[in-house]
This record gives sequence, C-alpha cells and structure tokens, in this order.
Amino acid sequence: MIREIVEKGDAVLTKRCHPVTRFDRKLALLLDDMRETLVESGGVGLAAPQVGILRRVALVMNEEEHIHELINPEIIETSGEQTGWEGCLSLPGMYGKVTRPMKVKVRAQDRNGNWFEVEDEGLTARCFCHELAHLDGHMFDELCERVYSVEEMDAVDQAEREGSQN
Amino acid sequence: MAAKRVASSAREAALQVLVDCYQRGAWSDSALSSAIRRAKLSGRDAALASRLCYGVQQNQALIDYWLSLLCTVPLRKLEQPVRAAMELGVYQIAFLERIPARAAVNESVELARRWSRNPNSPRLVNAVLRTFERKKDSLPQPESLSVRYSHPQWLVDLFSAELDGGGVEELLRADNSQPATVIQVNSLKTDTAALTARLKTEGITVTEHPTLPGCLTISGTGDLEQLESFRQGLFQVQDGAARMAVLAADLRPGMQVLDACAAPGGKSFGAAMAMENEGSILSCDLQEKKLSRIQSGAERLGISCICTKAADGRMFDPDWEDRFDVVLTDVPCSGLGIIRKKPDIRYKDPALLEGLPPVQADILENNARYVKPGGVLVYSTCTVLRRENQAVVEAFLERHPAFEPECFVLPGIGECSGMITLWPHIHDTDGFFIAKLRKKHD
Repeated sequence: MIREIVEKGDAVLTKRCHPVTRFDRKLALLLDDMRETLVESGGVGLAAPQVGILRRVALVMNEEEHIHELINPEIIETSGEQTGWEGCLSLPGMYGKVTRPMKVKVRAQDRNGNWFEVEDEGLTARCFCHELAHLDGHMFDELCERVYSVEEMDAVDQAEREGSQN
Repeated sequence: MAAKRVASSAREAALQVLVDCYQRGAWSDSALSSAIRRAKLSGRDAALASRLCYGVQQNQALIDYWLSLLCTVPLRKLEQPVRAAMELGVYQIAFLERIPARAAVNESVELARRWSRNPNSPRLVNAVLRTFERKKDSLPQPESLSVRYSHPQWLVDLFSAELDGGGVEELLRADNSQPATVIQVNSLKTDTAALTARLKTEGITVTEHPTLPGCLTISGTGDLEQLESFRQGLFQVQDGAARMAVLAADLRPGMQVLDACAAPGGKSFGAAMAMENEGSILSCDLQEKKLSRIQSGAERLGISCICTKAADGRMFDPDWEDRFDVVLTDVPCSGLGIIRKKPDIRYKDPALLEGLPPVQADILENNARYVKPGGVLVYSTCTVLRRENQAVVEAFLERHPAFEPECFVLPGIGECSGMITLWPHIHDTDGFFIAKLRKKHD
C-alpha cells in the first residue's frame, strides 16, 4: 500500500525515532509499504518518519536501483567529501547544496534482525547520510544556506559554468 | 531523498537512459521505465521517450557512422550527455517524420546546455545537427549491412548462415521496425467485440489481428498496464508467435498441463483460456520470485486452474513421470528472435550463447519424461538459430523413438510438419520456433 509522505512542517520530521526491537510482520508490512511508496514517488531514499512512523527504519536505493532496507542503521565509517545538489521527498521541488562524505559505511539490521554492513559512495553515500539524519529528526535544508527551486538551481548551475569558463 | 535531477521532458528522460546505458554498458527496460516514472511523464511523453531510446539503440551504429562524418570531435571524446543529445537529434531528423527538424535540433541543443559541463557543447550540437539536416540526403550509405542496420557483424553472419535462401536484409530491417502490440482477448471474461469497444473508449486504436483468432493488434498506448481494462484482466499482452505455440498444443478443457519454463506466464494463461479454466496447469520456473508474477497475472485474468512451483527444468521429479497430457517447454534461449522488442539483445556476448544448446537439450530430455503415453510435448524458443531449435529436437528424436513429430495447423500459415521457424520479416511475429512431438502409446 502506498503511504502518504508527510511534508516539512509536520512535527514528526523533527523527532528522534525509536529503535526497532520486534522484527515481526508489522515491520515487514511497513518495509513493503515504504518500498512501494519510494518507487512510486521516484525518489532514491525514504525514512520511516516521512510516512509518519517514528521508528529507525530507512530505505536507500543504490545506483543499480537495488533498495537497501536499513533497520537501526548507524554510520560506522566515512571518508572524503562531496558537495552537490540534494532534495527531499518531504520538501518537494526544492534543492540545496549540501556537503557530505564521499564514502560511507553503514551497519544495520535486515528485516529479520540480522546485522550487516554496506558501503557505497557518491549519490548513494549522500543518500545514506540524508536518510539516517531523518531518523534523528534532521533534514538536509539545515545544512545549506538556502534552498532553490528547479529553475533557480538551473540558473545557479549555468552561472557556475560560465564562471568556470572565464 | 529526492532523485538528484528529475527529467522534465520526454527527450531529457531519453537522454538520461542513454547516458545510463553507456555508463553501465547495457540498456535495460527497467532504466527506461524508472526514468519515465521519475519524470512523471504522461502517456504521450512516455511513448515518445520510449521511441527515442529504442530508436537510438536500434540505429546506433548507423547514427554514429553519420555523426563521425560530420563531427570534428571524435565521438568517444565527447561527454556522454553531449553524444546522446546528438544521437537523439540525428535519430529524430532521420527517422521521425512527424517531428520537425528544427524542433529536434533545438531540443538537442537545449539538452546539451543543461547537461554538459563544456560551454561550447550547445554550439557544437547545433552545428553538427544543422549540417546533418542539410546533408542527410547526400550522405553516403554505409556499405556493410552491419552498420546500416546496426547489428554486430557476428550476428549478421549468423543470420546469413540461417537464411541461405536470402532475406537477411529484410530480417535486419524487421528487427529495427516497430511491431504492433498483439493482445489476446481473455475469453474467460469477455469477447473480441466487447473488448474492442471497451478499448476504444479508453482511447486505444484497435484492429482485429489479421490471422489469429481471439487476438487484437493495438497502438496509441503509453503504459498498457495502467488501463482499467488491463487491471480488470480483460486481456493479456502476448505476441502472435507465443500464441501459436499454445495453438499448436491443441489444448482441451480438463487436460493436465505442465508449463515447464513458465515465467512470466503468457503461455500458461493462454493455455488456461483454451481450456476454459477447466483441468490443471502446473506452471514452473527456476526462480521463485518470478512465480509471484504468474500468480498475480492469473488472479488478474480470473484463472483458477494454474498452480505454480519453483522447479529446475533439468531436475527429474519422479512424481510427475508420465503424468501430463501436454508439456510445454519454452526453454531459455539466445532471444535473437525478439530483437525488434528488445534492441539490446543484439549487443549480447556471442560466446555466452554457445553454451545454450546442451542446457536446452537437458531440459527437453527431462520434461519428455513427464508426458503420458499418447500425450504431447511442445518445444519452443524465441530464437531462429537451428543449433538451438531443429538440431536440439532432431537429436532428441534420434535418442527417443517413442516420440514422433506431429503435424499441426497454424492460422495464416497452414500445415506445419512437426516444426516451424517463424520470422519477423516473413510472418510479422517474433522470431520463434515451435516443435510438436507426440509420445506414442506403449
């Protein structure tokens, strides 16, 4: 079932989520619903609070379009740095420039409670950081000076290109 | 997190997919459908994005040949989005008559502006595409069939060997054509006339299939699966060739049928319709996760006589010995018959295809044991290579005198003496092979 994505302004997005302790049918249902919601939205990551659930559960789609299911995830290693555009399904149409690590290693449990580690870089590393921040009540726009609409983003890109030309 | 950049137009979505393809070395339908989904394209734009991706992929060698004559920068040195923008432009100018050349050029220039890091790219794309537009009728045609029809040379050679009576060029051209979509009316829920009327109200252009009973050809569709009539299970999408494999089996209500390599389920569903949902069909596939698609398809179509089971077609199951009236074995194959629907098949590694015949022989060998005396074994593939088709069946018949080829009649084709190869350029179906064998009574 596709769930409704809550938007910025809803208090649920500012709260710290509780750890998952029961790996039961209800959790599986939440994961299945989140997966469906993520695919339908065309996004690349989704955290449980974005569908109104205060649990430490997040989905991250990698560049091969595989969706990682992350329960009680934590970032255990980072390296490098990248700065680039980031957007959020809970802040539709707005983008900001955010600096994140280039490479990230995450430790998490799967839907059966088994611990695993996953490492990725680039866009997927950015997405790990973005989704895990949601679980502590944070959003990407706290990390950038301002947010831009798509048109403004294009204009910024254009100006930067012209800048680098000179 | 929202996707980094959502395409805002059909052309931009097509460019994204093409760039993805260069980077991952392969093209996939899933890249296309996810780009369309992300960009939230409407039916018409989704259809255009698909046409552009398929078109460039189908004519890549020819387009690149022309571009290499006109572009001062070697293609491999271009940024990938710039190259894709040029290819999209050339494809539209050369092949899509209803798109004005000026629009094609401007759109590609705009794509280069948005996607290139090099400020000179829009100018380059503009210059190359305008020259192409001006000179397109005087540009040389490539000598080789391989470049002219964008099929790798090994594939042209293979097809030439199969078609010793000629027709290679016609086949290559058919591979690059856009086949009409064929659907099979779900006779369990509706009939041809009612479904035709229904589809027309949904904005679909429908015509009766020229030869196949219970089939329609349709056009003017974006995503068929979004149609209410699809969700209600009034039809299934099924190429004429697969439909004919089911017809060859001559199924009757009450039969016990095994569909040994069933996913995604089209033949099982066709069989259930022919059997009026009476009897039983056991639909197997190696991969468990593919079975749920068969189950949901059957549910949608209102079919209750299908059971699914994960099974390796090569592993003998003693419970099934001599049990089935009809066994359908649509074996894994090179897929060289469906290039017109999956343009990337032509870019497969030929070395990997050579290992298929022994696997096909093993599956046929094993499934033959499940046919009851007097029953029927249908062997089919979606390829046109003798080594995967006639050679496999003939070697099987030599080892098993209990089986003999049986004549069958196909609509629009007539009597077939036990085996037939269907060709895109002759029969206007997928390239396909069907053999019908009957197990003699003891």
